[in-house]
Amino acid sequence: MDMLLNQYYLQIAVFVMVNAILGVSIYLTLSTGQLSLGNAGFMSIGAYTCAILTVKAGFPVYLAIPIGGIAASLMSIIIGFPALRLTGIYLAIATLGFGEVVRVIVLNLKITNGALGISGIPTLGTKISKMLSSFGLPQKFGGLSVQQTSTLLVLLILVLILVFLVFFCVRLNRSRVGRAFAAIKADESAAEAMGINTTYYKLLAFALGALIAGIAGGLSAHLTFFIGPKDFAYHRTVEILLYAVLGGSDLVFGPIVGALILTLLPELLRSASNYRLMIYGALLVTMMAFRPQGLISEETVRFWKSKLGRGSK
Amino acid sequence: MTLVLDQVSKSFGGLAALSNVSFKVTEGEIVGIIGPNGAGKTTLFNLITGIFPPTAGKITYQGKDLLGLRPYKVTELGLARTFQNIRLFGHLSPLDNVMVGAHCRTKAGVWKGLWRTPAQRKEEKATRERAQTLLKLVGVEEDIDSPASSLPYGQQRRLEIARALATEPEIILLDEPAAGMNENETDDLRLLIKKIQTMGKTVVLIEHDMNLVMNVCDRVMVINFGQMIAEGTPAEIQQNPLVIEAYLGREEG
Amino acid sequence: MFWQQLVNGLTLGSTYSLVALGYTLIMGVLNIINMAHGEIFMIGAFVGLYLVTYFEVNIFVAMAGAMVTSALLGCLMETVALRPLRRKAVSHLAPLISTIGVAIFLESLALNLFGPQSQAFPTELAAVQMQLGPIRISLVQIIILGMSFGLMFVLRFWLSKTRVGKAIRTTAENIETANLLGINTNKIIFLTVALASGLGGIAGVLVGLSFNAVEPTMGLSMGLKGLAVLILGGMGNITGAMLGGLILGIAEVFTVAYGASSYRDAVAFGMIILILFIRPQGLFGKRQGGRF
Repeated sequence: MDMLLNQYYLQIAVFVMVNAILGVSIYLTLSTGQLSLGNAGFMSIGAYTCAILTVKAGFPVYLAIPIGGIAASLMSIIIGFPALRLTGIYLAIATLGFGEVVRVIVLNLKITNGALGISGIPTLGTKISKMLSSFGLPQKFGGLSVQQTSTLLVLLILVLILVFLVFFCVRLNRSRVGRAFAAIKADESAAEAMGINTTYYKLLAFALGALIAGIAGGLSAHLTFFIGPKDFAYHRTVEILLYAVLGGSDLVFGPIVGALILTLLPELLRSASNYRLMIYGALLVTMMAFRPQGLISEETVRFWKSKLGRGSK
Repeated sequence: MTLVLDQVSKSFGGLAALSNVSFKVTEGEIVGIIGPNGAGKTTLFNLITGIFPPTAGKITYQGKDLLGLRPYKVTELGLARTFQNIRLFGHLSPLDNVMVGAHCRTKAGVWKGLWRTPAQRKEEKATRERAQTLLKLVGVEEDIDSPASSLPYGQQRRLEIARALATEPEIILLDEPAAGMNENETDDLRLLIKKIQTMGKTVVLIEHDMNLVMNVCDRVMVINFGQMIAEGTPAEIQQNPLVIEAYLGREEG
Repeated sequence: MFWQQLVNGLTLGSTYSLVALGYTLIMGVLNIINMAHGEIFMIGAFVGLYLVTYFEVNIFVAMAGAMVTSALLGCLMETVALRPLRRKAVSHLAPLISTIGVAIFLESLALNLFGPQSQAFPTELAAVQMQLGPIRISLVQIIILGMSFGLMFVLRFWLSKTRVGKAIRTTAENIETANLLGINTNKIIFLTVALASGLGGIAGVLVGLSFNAVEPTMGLSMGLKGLAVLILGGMGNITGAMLGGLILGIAEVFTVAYGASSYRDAVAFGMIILILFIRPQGLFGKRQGGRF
């Protein structure tokens, strides 16, 4: 038990969850066929807003995280509105530029503490373990240390958030809004001709993606004790994009699987860490050339369903 | 008079695609638009549905100016169309394609879709049933759950019509619906168009199949080189020397 | 002061123009954005730097070397990352994502080969300065201005007057028509990518000279400037790219001169957003007929 629940494994599991949430964020934007290269930027808005609120203004964490998400989402509407009236390429460029500007601003503002970043952010784990001891929990509880219990609880919270997001996406897909998203992804001008306000729905998908990225940013700030401008550089965006490219963006499970693989793989291949980004780059090119739909696509699901004899229903 | 075009012109980079086209469409009629390839017929549909604005002229629908409205607004007002080169949402099922068409007549947003409120479920059920009715009407009944792109060609054309009907239009613009169909299919299409008319809808039809046009239309307009050269009943059009020249001239060239 | 800043701005801007021309050429012919252009530019800068420091060649020879390397790299990218996508019907995002892959690959490669630190050209070049009335101008600036403007004029002339240049423009206009006219469009695409990347390589050396710094991350920041110019000037518009680059360069220099130096890199982005709001077709682009 102790072997399996050691702090290192738990920590990785926590990162898998945060990255999976980021995968959902890029999935939502992609579900209207739009590419956002600003996810790291939205993450950093969420993270900084949240960290500043808790560290400097004493907000409770459960309030600060949603506020961070909403701040990122509002920002996305300002960026997205002009860019989304045009074709997809404009959004990619505008968001790429946006990500860089957020970085420049974060580096220069006093409140974000420049290149040094913000440290001493109360982590969710410590909060929970404090809460647990205040309930009078013994040091060893069911064979687990307080630290283990609290990390497990943090993990549970993240799992619940992810489950909710998956539920959200699945429900959305089978609704009027989800059909509008799918129609826009398939053929934007035909969708518009069928009475869909494409700008509105593209903006909606983009803002939802930013909201979730912002929340993920807030969560990650409260998981790692420290945030700095380097955490949200362009490479982070590429990594998030790769979740969707590798896993596939037809279904919400695609980017989640992508996030899982790409979080575990670097841990297994630590010796090759210098070449990680080179491998990522090559992976992007290879996927586009040989399997642009990603590992998990609608066809894969249909194939396995029929193979497992559940194809009829 | 529901749809009125007044001196409408369109040019692309100095080249005139349409010049001074005027016509009126009366409620409940079936109007055919014929003319050689490249005469500007599809451009006409694109102008009416707001895909691009005319260079000059006025387009009104039930007295409302359509200029400057985005395509989805035009559809909301009650004009729906099909495309010459089929533009279905290929990986969506036929049923979903038609349900997308119902988008502008339904309301449920993100929140209601997430929690499946009673109102949302009722709306969804009604939309699905209506979509199934429309699929039955156009005769797409098998494979309604597999991707639309795997349907046979003729079925895809019919599915486009069902999708357009799902927007609950008063005028439906059909862009070469018989293209690629065999005689039997075209005959079924003729019956379908008539049926749409009996549902109280107005039909504007671009078509190359003269047999279909002459059999189904109440009135026919002929466009050549971006200009309307003739207008009348099918019988009148068949006698019109200008029309005969336009068509024969084309065959010689 | 004003004239001095203007010259500095023009110098900086002319390098932006060169980079933006690379985007514009590829945008025009292939209708895609080459997200790896900045990294090809960066590799060019390193090749130039190493030629000068280790082989002690003349700066112009170094530029030629950078140009050739970058052009070859561009061709390699076209073969590996772009051509396979053209054969099948894929989403319009696929080439964008594929070139992002090339970009990240090249940047990481440079990081492993050359290290993260910023490296400088030998200083003799920057030391030579001249006084022209109120303006102090360095030899480096003269080389940059001369090379950039020279290249731009040659390019314009070449595109409008020569047979190959006309073939490129026809292909940019409509690839199917070009095919019908008997133009070997695959060859033209190769040529365009090589040309664009080659220009990027030269720009890399020029920028390396002007900032006296060459580093792996310069590709991303320069790429972003080039993209801003692409939108500013109007996508696929060659004149727009040239003038847009100059405008951005001058705007940045004046932002620094009048106090907001740390926000220099935000100017490009501010321009993108402003342009998207008020004139989405770009300053010099023609308004499209419709959205589709």
